[in-house]
Amino acid sequence: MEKILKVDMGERSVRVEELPEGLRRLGGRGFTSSVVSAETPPGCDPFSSENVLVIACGLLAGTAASTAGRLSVGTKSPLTGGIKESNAGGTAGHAMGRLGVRGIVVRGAAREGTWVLVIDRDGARLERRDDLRLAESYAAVAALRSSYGGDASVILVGPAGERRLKAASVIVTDPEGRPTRHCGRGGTGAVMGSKGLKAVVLDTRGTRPPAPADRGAFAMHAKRFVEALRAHPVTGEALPAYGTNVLANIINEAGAYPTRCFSSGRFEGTEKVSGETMRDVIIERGGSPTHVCQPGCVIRCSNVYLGPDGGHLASGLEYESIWANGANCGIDDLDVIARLDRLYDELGIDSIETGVAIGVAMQAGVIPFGDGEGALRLAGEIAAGTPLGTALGNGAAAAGARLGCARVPVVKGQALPAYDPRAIKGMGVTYATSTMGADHTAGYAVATSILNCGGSLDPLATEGQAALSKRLQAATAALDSIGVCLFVAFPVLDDPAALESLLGMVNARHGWGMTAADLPAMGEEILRIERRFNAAAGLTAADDRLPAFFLTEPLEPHRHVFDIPERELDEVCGRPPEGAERP
Amino acid sequence: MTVDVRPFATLRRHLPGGETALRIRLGDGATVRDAVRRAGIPEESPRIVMVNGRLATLDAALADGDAVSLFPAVGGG
Repeated sequence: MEKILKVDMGERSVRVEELPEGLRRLGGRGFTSSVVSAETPPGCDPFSSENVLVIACGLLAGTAASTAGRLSVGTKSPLTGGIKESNAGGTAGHAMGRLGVRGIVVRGAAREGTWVLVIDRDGARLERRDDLRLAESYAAVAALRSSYGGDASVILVGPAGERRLKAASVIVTDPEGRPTRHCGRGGTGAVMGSKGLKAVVLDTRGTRPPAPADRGAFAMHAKRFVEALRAHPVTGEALPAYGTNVLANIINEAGAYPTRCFSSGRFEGTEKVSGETMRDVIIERGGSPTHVCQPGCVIRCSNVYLGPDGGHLASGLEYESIWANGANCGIDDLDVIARLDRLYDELGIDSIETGVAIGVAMQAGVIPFGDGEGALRLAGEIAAGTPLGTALGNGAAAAGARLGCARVPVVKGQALPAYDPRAIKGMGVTYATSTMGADHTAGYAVATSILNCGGSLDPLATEGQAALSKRLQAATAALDSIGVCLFVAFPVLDDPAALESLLGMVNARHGWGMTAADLPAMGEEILRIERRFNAAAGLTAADDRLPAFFLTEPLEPHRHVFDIPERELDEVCGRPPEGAERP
Repeated sequence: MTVDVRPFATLRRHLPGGETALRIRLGDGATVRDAVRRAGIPEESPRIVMVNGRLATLDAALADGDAVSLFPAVGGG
């Protein structure tokens, strides 16, 4: 029987309990959102002791299932004021699976001190580690592994989380023990930091993978799942060869690559920061263009990026990070972007939110667009804790407020990611209506409207975008709750065998009879729980909208504005049409 | 007419000497398929086709000055 760990930071207690009936069929986001909605008062201050922080692995964690090691963190977000789930790869999800811990629920706040939760095969305990207070993440991981085992997985916050910066991430270590995979969005790291919890260390020595209910069926489906991932051209060829940044050129060609704080859809420097160029640079310097963020993943879309001197800078320089700190800031220098990414890894801060905040500062005239050294200086101010740096570390909306800049690309206070909603309108629907704030992963309309996966829809059309986003948002919530990498959606959208083998693994692992027909309802239920929380927290229909400038400023080169009717956005959110009675 | 052909990712291996784009001349009424063939790219290789940044098919008619972007199956996030 899997366990749930209940940690009270105020009492400094840890209880290990059997997983309650209501949570047994939930992993990842389904688990975190259920617990947060049940235990966090929606109206509370996200930094108060009443807010709970929930860490959960997926339903296949600890097994040999490829990509099944995603780790979810959920809480009430200090950035959006609503419910939040953010997930990452890395090794911690599988480690939790081996340790038999489905979820960790952290409540209360330490009155003093810096604390580490250590989990091993014998149990779990809190240890006081004031020596790690405000330690940067690479040094913190080195110290923790020296204390608790050189192969331990670590979930941690950096100085940004301890200082409660609202863009702070929760970091997860990769197979080399590098703190490079982030539950990036929505400030979950600030909540973890507010509780005095610096890290969770997972020592899997002496553990074994969980035994499937049906060992033979599990092995068969796991093999078929890998075959489906390898057979699909996106997960089998493009992502292993070029990583996520293969998208830079295609999104730029489509006129949807947000440039200089969302003022154009094309960036003249894209070729220099594209996946194709990056692959050449990585190979030339002796890095790895293909790398796993978690053991057993056959997609291997991560990379190891070395600086001009051959020193390690980033593991997994990703499309989003490259865009936010590149085109979005008018910067076309991969080394500058990689140095920014390294700073964000050390600080434990979201590379999207922070890049967009720097873009807002450029728009306000603090430094010019394209000023790479200036961007590094601003990131240095975040680390130093200057007033401007603190505003930047609190995200794009805070940066805009401090700098007197009203044109800020955020929804529910969270920065827009790397697809302009005027040129890929289904993404605009997702940004506006997601329970999470502007989040590309919440309903990835790009797949259908640019990449020809799961059908096709003109990204500039008005019709059909709301329905596409709604369907994808429910499917995504379900996948996030199984706890697999969202990239399995590419084969799942195109190849029935991929979904069949994924569900086959879940059923063989747990002895269930889940079918594909169950997934939309499962996703819808999670979204209902999240929307209920957000409504109780005070979010309204006005929060399910894009900033006004997307409706009035046409975007080059296609000269479209975001023109999806508000009633369609409300329908995605399950709001009855105006004048209608709620049933 | 003259059009620019821009292959990306693995399709670039079909262009000579590390080029990233090709300017080619075509007769009136030419389609994307003609441009792809002329560029020496197997016509079944592009999975995503754009003309001037709009999604198109191999049968789309071209006009002078068009930019044709060709991609294999790609994805990410």
